[in-house]
Amino acid sequence: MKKLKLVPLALAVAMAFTTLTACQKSQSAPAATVAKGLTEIKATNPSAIPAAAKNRKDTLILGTEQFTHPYDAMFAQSQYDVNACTLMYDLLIDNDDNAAAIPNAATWTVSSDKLTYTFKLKDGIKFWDGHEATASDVAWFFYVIDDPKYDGQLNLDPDGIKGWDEYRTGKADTISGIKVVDKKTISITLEKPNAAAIWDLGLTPIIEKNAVCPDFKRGDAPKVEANTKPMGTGAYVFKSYKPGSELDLTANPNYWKGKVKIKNVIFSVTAPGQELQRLKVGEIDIEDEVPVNPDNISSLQAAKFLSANLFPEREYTFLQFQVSNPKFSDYRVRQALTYALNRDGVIKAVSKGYSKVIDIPESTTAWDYTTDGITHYSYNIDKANKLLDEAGWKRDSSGNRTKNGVKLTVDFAMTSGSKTQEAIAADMKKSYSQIGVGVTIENMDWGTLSTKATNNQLECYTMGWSLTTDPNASANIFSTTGTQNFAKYSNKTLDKLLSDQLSQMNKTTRKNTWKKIYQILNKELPETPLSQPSKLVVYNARVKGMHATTYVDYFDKLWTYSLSD
Amino acid sequence: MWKYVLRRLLQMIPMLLGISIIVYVIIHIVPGNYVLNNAAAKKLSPAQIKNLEDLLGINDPIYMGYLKWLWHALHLDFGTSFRFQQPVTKVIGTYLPNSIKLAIPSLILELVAAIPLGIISATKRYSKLDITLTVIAFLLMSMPSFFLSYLVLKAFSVDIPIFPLSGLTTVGANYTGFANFLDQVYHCILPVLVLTVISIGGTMRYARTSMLEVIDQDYIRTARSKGLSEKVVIYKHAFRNAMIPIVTLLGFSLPGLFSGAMITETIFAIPGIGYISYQAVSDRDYPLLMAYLMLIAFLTLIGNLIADILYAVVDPRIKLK
Repeated sequence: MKKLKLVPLALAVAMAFTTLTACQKSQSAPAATVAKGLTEIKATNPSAIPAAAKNRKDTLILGTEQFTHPYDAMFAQSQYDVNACTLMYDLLIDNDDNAAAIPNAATWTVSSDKLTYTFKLKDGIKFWDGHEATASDVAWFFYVIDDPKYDGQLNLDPDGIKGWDEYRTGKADTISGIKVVDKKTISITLEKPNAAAIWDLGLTPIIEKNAVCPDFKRGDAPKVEANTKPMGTGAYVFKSYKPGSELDLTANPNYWKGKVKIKNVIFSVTAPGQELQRLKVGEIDIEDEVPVNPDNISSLQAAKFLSANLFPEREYTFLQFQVSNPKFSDYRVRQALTYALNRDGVIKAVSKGYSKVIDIPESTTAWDYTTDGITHYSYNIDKANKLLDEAGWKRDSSGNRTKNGVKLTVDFAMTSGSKTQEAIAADMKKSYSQIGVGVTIENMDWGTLSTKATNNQLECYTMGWSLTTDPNASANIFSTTGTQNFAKYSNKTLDKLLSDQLSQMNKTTRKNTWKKIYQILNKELPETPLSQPSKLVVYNARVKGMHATTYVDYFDKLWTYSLSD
Repeated sequence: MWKYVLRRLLQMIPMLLGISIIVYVIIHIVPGNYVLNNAAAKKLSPAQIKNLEDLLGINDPIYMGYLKWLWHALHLDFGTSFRFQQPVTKVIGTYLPNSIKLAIPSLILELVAAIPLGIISATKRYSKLDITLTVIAFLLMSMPSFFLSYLVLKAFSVDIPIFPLSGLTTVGANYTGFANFLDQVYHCILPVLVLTVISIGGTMRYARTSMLEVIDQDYIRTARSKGLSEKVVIYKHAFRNAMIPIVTLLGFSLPGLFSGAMITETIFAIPGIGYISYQAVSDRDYPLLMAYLMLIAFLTLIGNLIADILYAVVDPRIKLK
């Protein structure tokens, strides 16, 4: 369910920030580094917890940004909905702090031809109503997602499950690649090897078919969608939902993993900007949308009873030049424009040091992250001028770069109100004038910007991608046929490498291939990486057992948390 | 009178049709649609995009789409919200009441406070009191709602924590009946205060101007020269005439009661229609947007009609024909 999604930069920045240097300086509490890139800020005086929170003995309140459809794992609309579902539904597999796949509700094996994945459900997994979870429930999930009338947010088409299209288009009555072997075992066969498929196949929630839609047949997806009585196996049982404001859950007394320690969990919608205030007055106990900046960090430390985890976020921002435009088709021009932009200065100024400038589109905490053979494009006007000369863009009498009668200009599209974009626009205007490149700026709303960007109608814009546990998501952005390759970038060598890595089940081999991929991306700059922000999970010191890192969200392990008296 | 109302209601039909055409066309020619906005995130192939667009019915040419919408709308079926995956009427029915809970009390409070203040201000024209009230009125009018909201929250929820920071109900407390009512009132106090305070200035100035106009009239001088007490002159003779434009203001404020206060609702995390409709715009959630905008259009027309009727009610000199 963790999907790559396009996030507006405004949003990305609001959620932003990293590098730990700035916060370590101002930090009075002891910090210990546990997982990669994680800084823990500990409460200094837990007795300062406000009465409002203290009196809530068996109830934990979590802040969230918004809710649309938070109780249905198949029709969840936003990341926030998905987060809530994590507590109610068990997924077949899980991932650890290093983004490696680990068994959860099921163990799995992969056949020697790398095509068939067999998942075996663990014993004793029961739905809230006491019925045993079966392989048919798991299989049913795929039938709903593949339904011709399914209009939810999940998309398993790229995994290439055998018989997937045939079922949807009505050529077959079943999905031939999905077989219920026995009561507890399900096998899924793919058309070709796919090292990333485990992340889609394994992140399948277990939902009771008989409780939701017992007589499901093709075309019934809307019926499933209309269901308001969810039935999962998760640590927390759905209790009630107040639209747009509150989701109430209660502990599952028969949870298969063990005793769930906190009796009630409530998700409460927090207005943007009020996150930290609500924590401080004790209205909520955990919040993961607190904007990362020095003010908020010193403010939470001043409260003395708040702790926090600070770590690199699964997200990065980038600057896109329209690769298919003759002006930017030569990678030396893109390099020049990257050299001439003061990325370090802009990112540092906007994020106050909490975002890390990156040169490849991957998290610094990822297993495939590399700096080997990667150039850091630090601000350098001379290099930029030299590269443009080499690329044949000569200065005309008025100092503008021209080639074959075309003037080199950049039309930067942005959404108003984003500090990062404003800073980039300002720096571009200033810096690009020194290399003879004119800059115009165009303002538009997010919907227009994203549509124009996806239709390759913009010369230049910034945006963010969220990062997934597996790097393969990037293949869809950079390969010639990728559906997210909006810029229409194409490189045969890269295409080959991207398809190679997908069939490489050996992690070392695959890592090596990714290194080569990143080297090409770093040289040719189909997009100019900007920064990786940090994320801050702030919690009341009465919450014990917090576990939140780049790859493990705090609610993943919430069932093991407890509340101090 | 009834004939007049009926005629006006009939006139509304072509107007609503015209409005619906304009609104429909405008929201559909804005770039992007619900599927495309999400296509990138979902890694959709062009075939899938087409399939989903067909499923949601956004592939039809604009005129066909409009006719279909109109046909369903005439049967009171406003479609299913793309985002909420529920009938639009249900979505509006869920969120609109919360907005009304804020709008009605703040309108009442606004009138109760603004009218007397305006009258006092007018009767004591250019006095220190008048100048003070005028300055305060302009101050409040020019204050952005988000600023005032944060100010109020800082004062009464953080520094002196007597009111909740956000929400319409106490988190986790599933009150029913009267307890639920009290709980909601408690949560509404600050947002209602904000909405009232920012609108008081305008209405107060309106009342003041209107009163000043009346006070200068001959019949007021006549009343005074008759030897009537100042109280009777102001509150009986002048007041009723000065209220004519104010009463009609009531009619015009009708759509405002139902459109939601996006910024205030968002800051106080009140699940109202203001934020939902804003989101519908950026999502390109056509069915929800159409239903919401048509509701507001309908209420605006009805509001105008009410204003005209009220004119006749408060001012016997006006005859509706």
